[in-house]
Amino acid sequence: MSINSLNFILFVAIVCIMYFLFPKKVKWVILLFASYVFYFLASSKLIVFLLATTISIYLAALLIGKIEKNTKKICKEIEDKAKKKEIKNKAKTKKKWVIVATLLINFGFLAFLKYFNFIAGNLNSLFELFHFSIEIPFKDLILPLGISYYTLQAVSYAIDVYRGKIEPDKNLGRVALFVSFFPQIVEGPIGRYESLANQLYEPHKFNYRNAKFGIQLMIWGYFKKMVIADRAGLFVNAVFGSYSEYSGVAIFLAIALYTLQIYAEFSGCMDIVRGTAQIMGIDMAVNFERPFFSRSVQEFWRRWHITLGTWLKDYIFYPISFSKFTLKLTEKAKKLFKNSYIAKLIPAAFALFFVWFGNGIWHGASWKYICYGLYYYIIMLLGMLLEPLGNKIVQLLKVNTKAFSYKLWQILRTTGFVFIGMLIFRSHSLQDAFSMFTSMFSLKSIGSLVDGSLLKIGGLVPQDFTVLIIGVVMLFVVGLLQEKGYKIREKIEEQNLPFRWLLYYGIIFAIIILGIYGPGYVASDFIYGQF
Amino acid sequence: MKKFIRVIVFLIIGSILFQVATLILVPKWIGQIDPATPRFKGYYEEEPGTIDVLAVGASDVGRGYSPITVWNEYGITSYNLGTSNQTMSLAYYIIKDAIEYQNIEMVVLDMDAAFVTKNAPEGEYRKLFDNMKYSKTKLEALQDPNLKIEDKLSYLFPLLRFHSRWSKLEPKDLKITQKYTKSTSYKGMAMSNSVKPYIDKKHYMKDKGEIEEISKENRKYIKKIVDLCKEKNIKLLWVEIPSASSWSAARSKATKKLAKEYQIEFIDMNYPLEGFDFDWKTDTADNGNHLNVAGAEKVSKYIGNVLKQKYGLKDHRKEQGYNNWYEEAKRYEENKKQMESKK
Repeated sequence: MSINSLNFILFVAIVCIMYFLFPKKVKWVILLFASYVFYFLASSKLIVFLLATTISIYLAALLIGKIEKNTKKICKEIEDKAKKKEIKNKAKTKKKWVIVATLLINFGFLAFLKYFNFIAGNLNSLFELFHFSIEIPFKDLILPLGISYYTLQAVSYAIDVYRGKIEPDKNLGRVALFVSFFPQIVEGPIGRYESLANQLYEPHKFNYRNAKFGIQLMIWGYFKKMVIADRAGLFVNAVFGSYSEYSGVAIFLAIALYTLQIYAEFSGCMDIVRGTAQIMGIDMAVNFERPFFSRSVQEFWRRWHITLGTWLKDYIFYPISFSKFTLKLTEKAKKLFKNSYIAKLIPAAFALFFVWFGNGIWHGASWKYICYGLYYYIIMLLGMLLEPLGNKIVQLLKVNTKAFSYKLWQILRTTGFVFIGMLIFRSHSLQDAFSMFTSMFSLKSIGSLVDGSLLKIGGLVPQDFTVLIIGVVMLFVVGLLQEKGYKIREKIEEQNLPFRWLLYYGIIFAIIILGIYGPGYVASDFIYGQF
Repeated sequence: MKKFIRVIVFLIIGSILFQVATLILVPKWIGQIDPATPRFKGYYEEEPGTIDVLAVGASDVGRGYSPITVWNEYGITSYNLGTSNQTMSLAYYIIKDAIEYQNIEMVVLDMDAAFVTKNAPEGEYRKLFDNMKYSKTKLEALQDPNLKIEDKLSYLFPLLRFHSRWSKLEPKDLKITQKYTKSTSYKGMAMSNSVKPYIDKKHYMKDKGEIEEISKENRKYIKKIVDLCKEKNIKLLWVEIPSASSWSAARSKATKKLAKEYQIEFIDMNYPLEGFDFDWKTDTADNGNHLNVAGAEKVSKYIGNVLKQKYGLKDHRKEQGYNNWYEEAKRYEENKKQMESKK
């Protein structure tokens, strides 16, 4: 049941009606039941992996809690500080074993199901290189729906309990709902237990404003997905599908439209997810904050897929940054580079490598995804390295960094870097990405700009480009207003009824008429649902 | 309560707009050879109680039966609901739907469809169901597994199928209040005046001693049609309009056998008949597959005579309330002249 299907809308309507009709005590049960039905309909027997993950983190958290409790109890009765420390250390080791086992189980599922064939393929190539007569056979593996998302969300709960940030939850149902909540399981956002679990568990009364705002957000999401993203996708698929037939402007346009497609689609999906939750009074984490207003790649990643970024920061960057090894490395760097800028940079660069490697590999079992992550790693590293030089140039040339033109240059530069990232991301291989990049500068097909053939790629008609331009303008205006602090839905609420209704009908009928769906088109899946 | 009413009003206006968008974006099949939209929509626009006879069947009927000729000759009011690739199952639902809007006394069913085993292509379903009013019969047809209709929801809401036509709209699409009674179809008939003779008659109606079997599924729908007509007290006549490309002696024999079983009269017009002066050299539009106007008029005169003489269908020419038939007959003649002048 795709999020952009009528079945999903019907499913949401039924769940919402049931949620508000049933008594307070069982509202969360309705959500849990709906989430498992949703998951079962999508993944049938693969639901066992979701169950296994849920039970494993639930038990791990309880066990960690129990160890913690027992340790505290014992320590209370003992006065000898050395013995206390010894008991605490033992408990720490025990907890560590529990969390390591939990991580191994859950990342084991993910690694096996998502990366087995990738690892096997690479090992086979290696064996061949060294003339070993070993070959690991490939397996026919099906990925359970949303495993990349719910695994991160689930282990974050166990780690937070391990870190003592939250208390272990004795209610298996609440933990299960936190992991499986149906709108978020396909593409996130990757939620945190402390902000989400109670919201899901607590009963919410029907609130007209919440329902209205939720539906509005869903409609906006559908507009982005069905009118903008899927339309851009027709052009993108045609060019990326046989890129050797195209060059110059067509390639550039395909990269730009793919960036537009993935943004409109992923952020649109998040709007649908957050809107669905909002109808039931649940506020889910924001995953996008106008990333194309970013003035640096770092800022872009703080605004793009935010919940993945914060997860990587909290569960990879910090642990590595504060690990014994990194601390030693910091000391050594300080000695070697005498407390210079580079000395400060080395530990960060070390930890960031794992963050970006993780980011890349999380997106898919392929070298291109790893390169995608490492591309951003290199860009950021270069940015950090060259920052003092850049500052000096700015000073020397007396550049007004507060001027609009300078900010625009920074935004365009960032967008350029993002385009290259998207090219790597969408291409079939790195080689293809490179070929496309070079052919972008070819003037061979410059004629397509004037003969109209450019506007017919992917079965599109010139009117489709008008729709795309209007769509981009709408995204820009909405983004700009949000950047300036306007709350769009609240602003709409203040308007008179005829204007409001005109706006609602306009966007609803834009989706119905201009949307890419139905037998005329192949209904397209969400790109990020594949991770 | 105020909010609730507001939501209801919003939904009502939304539904009206949806309907308007549907009327604009759904294709209009108004060509002379394939006037599906005026054929079906025009039928619903006919004054209730003014149509006595329905002619149903595949394109042989659509192009080979002229209600205007039957009116001109005998004053009998009939309507042509023949469509391309019409299967027996579709014929059943067309009859079932049509009899709800008129007091039909007689159904003339072309039996070519009894031997069609393939389902109609999507386009034919669209032409029929997109023009059919919402009714229990329409729902029943869409759910019939034998029709193998895909994407059923889009037949109830055709906008879901045709929304992408927004960039291809023509002025005719915007005429949503247009009445179809005075359109390209003359009481449902598809008109062609081209003449492409059928000459090679080596195999045509040669009896090789074989009898072609009517499929179980087609038999099922034939029975349904027979039962429906019995239930509604509607007389049923089976015919086979001349068709050199689809009809055969083996099919004729099978149909005769079944007609005997049901005690229904079957007129096979592919065999010589008294008073039926048919000529494959002048009366076919496409080398024996379909009839042209000349052929259709000959067929209609013959069938009209049977309807009058044997089944006692009433002459309405002297009655009041049938003016539109005279107007339509005039338009029909004018159109014939116009087509001739373009030749």
